[in-house]
Amino acid sequence: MNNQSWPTIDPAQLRVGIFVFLDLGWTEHPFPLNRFKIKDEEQLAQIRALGLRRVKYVPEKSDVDPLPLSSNTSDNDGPQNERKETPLSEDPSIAAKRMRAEILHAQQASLTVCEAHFSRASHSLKKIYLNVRRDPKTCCNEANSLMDGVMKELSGSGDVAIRLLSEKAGEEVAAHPLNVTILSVLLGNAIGMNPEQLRQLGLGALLHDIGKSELPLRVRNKEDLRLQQDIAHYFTHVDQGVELAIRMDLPPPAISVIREHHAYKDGSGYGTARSTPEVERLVQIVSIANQYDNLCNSANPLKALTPHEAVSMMFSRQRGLFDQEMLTLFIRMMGVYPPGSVVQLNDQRFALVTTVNMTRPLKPQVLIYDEGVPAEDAIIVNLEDVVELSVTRSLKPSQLPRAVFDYLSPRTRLCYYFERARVPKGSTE
Amino acid sequence: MTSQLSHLELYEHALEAVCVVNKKNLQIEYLNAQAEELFGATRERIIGHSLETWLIAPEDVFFWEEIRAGNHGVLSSESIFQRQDGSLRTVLRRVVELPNDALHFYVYFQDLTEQRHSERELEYLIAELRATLDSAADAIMVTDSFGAIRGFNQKLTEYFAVPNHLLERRNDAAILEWMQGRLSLRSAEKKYWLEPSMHAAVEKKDSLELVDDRVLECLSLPQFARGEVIGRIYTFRDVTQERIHQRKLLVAEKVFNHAPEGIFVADAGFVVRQSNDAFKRLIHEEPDNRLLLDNIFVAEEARDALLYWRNHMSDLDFWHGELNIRSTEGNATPCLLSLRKLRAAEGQTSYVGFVQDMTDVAAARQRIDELAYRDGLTGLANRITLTERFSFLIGQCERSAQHFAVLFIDVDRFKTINDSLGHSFGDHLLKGVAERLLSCVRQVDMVARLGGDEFVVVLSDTHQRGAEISANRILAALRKPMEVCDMTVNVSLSIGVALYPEDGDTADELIKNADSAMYAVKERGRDDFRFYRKEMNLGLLARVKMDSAIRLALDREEFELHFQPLVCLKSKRIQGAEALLRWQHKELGAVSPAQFIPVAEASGAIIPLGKWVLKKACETAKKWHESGCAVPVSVNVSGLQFQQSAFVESVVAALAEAGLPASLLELELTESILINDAEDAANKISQLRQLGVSVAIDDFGTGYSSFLYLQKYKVQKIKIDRSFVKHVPTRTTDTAIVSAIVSMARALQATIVAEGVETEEQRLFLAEKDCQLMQGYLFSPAIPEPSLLDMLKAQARLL
Repeated sequence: MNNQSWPTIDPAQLRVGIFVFLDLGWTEHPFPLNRFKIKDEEQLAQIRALGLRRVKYVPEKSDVDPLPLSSNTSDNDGPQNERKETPLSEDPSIAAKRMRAEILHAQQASLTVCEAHFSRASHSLKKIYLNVRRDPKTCCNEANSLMDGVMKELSGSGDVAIRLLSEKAGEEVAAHPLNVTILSVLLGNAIGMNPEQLRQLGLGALLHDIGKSELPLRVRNKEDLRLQQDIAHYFTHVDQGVELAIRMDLPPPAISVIREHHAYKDGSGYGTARSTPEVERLVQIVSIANQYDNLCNSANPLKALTPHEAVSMMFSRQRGLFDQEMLTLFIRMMGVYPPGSVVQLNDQRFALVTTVNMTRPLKPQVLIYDEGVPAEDAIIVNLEDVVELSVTRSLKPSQLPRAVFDYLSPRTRLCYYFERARVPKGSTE
Repeated sequence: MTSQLSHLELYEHALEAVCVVNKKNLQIEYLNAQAEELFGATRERIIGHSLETWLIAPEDVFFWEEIRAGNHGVLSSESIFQRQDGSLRTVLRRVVELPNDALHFYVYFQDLTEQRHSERELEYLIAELRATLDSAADAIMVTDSFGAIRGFNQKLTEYFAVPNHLLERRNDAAILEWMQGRLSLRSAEKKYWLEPSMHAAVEKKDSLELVDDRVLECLSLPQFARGEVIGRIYTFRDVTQERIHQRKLLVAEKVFNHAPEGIFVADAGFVVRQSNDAFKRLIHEEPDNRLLLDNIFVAEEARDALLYWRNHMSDLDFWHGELNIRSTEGNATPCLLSLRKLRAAEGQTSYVGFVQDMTDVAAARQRIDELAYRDGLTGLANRITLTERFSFLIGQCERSAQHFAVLFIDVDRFKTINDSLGHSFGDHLLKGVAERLLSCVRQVDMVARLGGDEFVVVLSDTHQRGAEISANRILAALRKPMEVCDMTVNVSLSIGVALYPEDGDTADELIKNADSAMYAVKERGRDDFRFYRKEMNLGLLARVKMDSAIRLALDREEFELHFQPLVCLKSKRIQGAEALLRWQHKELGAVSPAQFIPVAEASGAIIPLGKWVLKKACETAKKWHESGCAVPVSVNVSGLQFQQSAFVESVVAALAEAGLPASLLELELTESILINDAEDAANKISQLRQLGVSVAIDDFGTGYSSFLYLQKYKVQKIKIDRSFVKHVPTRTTDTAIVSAIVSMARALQATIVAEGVETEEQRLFLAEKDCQLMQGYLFSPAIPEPSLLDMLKAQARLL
């Protein structure tokens, strides 16, 4: 695509049905997108109000031809003056856009901070798993203070946390128990649990796999196991975990989480659910979060699903395993396309989901890759506002062309050239 | 199908699956044939049911929820479709409203299952390839035919230490430049990956040195697609360790081949598998695969130890010992073998051996051994060995009440021989004596040399009788003329015998007593043996004390002169007298000159002693002269005395002091004196002759006995040594020698004196040979001066 080759016309020639390309910064016009088909007179007026001398348009995407140029073509200087008379900041759409960009920039900054927190928490979690048998009491204290930290960090940064988890999905060796804890606490928080319940939930999530520290490495990943005896061996981590949890003196609901996190609704898995409905909620949350993270962070990265695929998989194919209501709540929180997901829009463009819209899960806010717009000034669209734009599918970051990935992801990432298909010659820089 | 929907016939043959859904209850009212296939059921079973039965993905659920909430919208996304049989398909599902139909949604399906499936397969394949490339042992880089990078793996960034900032943004030129910068100076000229190769189809192999000392082996090959070269593939392999090993191996090989020690490697069966040149030289052959260590080394004891070590799985991985290498010629080469057991990872034991040639060491060691326990000259046992033998024998005899005998042997007149014929001659003589001594004793006996001309023979399990037989055998053996340095000499021995346990029970005592007995023989005229008797020791002083005793004796005037007359053989008239020194020690009694004269000569006490003798002899002769019975007095002059530069003056002074006419003094010199400094001796003799002092050669025949010097010095008198006289006329050699000496002396117009004449037969024989004078027990031993004067007076009366 070469936007330079598109013809330009006088704004006076514009009419409804013409597909325009606005060669302006995204915050210099009120429209959600830089290129679109003029759908009504109001939009036409808005474009004209921008005061441009010439406007690019895309004939092949336009429904109609431009209007013939009227005889009074002498007022070429006019638009320049007109433009100055229109203070752009007064347009509420532009102001909203600015705010959106600022919020996003703030979110991207907090990603780095959040990542550092994750890394620290993951470190102390490793220590707990390592030392629990020798010193369960101390480990219990450490798990509690770890929970304090997690609860503090998570308050009000749900999107950031989910986005970080999504971006890292399938990429590096994630600290699975920590991921599960974060998701569980976010969900618990979303459904209005009190701090004490959240703590019990978090402890259960943090330590749900504590029994695995007793397992040989070979049988720690269920998906690799084929033999019945190996699977049986794998499930012993549940009882081992309960035993350790008792020695750690964990609160009983947390112990229940450990005991029942593999006991599925349809009777499959391991163990049976026998908790009170109140505790059962905790178990369900951790069970769902656990499943979600396992799907996203498979031991074999090739088998890892995108967050959207994981959500979709659980909702459509594994709904029998979980409490329907809780699963739906989980998906509402995560969004159908969780923040951090890389998606393709119905106009074929790539985008990154930045914020989920709880009431309209299909309409998240996205950051769109547009090679005509510099990355630091990228287009941020609330899909709720643009009816004609929707998400078609999700992709793994590794499926993106490099340039697109670099554009969308604020995090630096090393690239070995064999990592993804090469961008066609000349399309970068 | 309601009439309202009659336009739907158009869809019937569409390629896309389509269904029409009632907006109110989402019930399906129409579906086309394609949709039937997708649903997996006929229309009859589907129409009237809610679309939500089949579309189960959250997107759909939330979409219908939004619709129900009053939101308008289109839905176009991938979704999951559950078919009638429960199987799932991935579909692209679009939900649209048509402007001319407000009551229905139109839902279009596109089955993407196959497409997504193959995409996933492809992705899987790519990921698989990527993982393979990234896990490869080699660094790989692919460039296109213009030199731009098409790809590389993680190993490449490792080998070339490509920094992260170069990997975050794609910049081929920067990466290639970085790689170039990593090359060491030596490899820096090779920049073939920077320049598109002119020979794209050529395979290239090279090795690159990096700045961090890594060595990479680089292979570059053309990359082909459908027979066309489309780029190049570079693979880099880290061969640093290999190179280091190679270099080490090379050094090791050099060390192995050029080591001065023999080195070999043997397998578990002790078969030599590899060896260096030094080893081949040592064993004098090229080891083949059958050469066993057992066959190389022949020293029995050490070899057995070696085999024991090998066969008994000793914990010690190291063995060393001295062995002999057998060689083709059969003479063994002594060597030191150090063997180390090596256990390879495969459990195969092998051995590496170091062989050091010990020939020189062994020879040196033997020499040291000899020096320590053997006499260097004769190869006989030395004093240390003798002492050991003594302690062994004494211990043995104490237990078994056995006896043994000690013979102390001294070569008669050895000093004279040594002085006159030189030390080298003396040494050869001693060797000859040693040989003869050895030939006279049994294997169990020991012959030792104490030093000088003193030998000790120890006879095991021998008592008096046996010792006597042995001593006689020895004496007899030595009497045979001996060839030394192309000269025939006659040697005699004096032997003293001490017996264990009667004569002492320590080595020192036995040797001392045998020594005493030997001196007794010397006094009695040599060439004989005597058993030790207790009295012998009384007159014996330790030699160290002798010197001071001599000087003291001079002061105390313990010395006196005795005189032995020289008698005409025919007339039996006294023609002269030899002054002989006697020492009467206060405590010890008479001390033999054989004991103290050698000490005095060695210490220099002989000078004052000689002066005293000369003075005393002159006084005595003067006395005789005054008594009217003038006979010349003969005085023995020692070599040391004669060599004094003022010797002649001291003679003149003695004569003057005594007032004795020079013609009444005769000086007796030994042959050795004349030979030591011939020029000086000739001068002095000529001066003495001018004075009128006559000169005689003493002990003639025991030394050099040269006719030439007799002629040169024009001596007036020649005294035949008693050892020749002793056996005349019975022993023919001696008889011949005496005859020869007499006729020679006559030719020189010198007077002949026979010493030690003891029998009438001897006298008659000598007289027959025209020997003029004799000295000996037959006529008179040495007697005190008054007695001689009496004899002289008596003789004078006879006239």
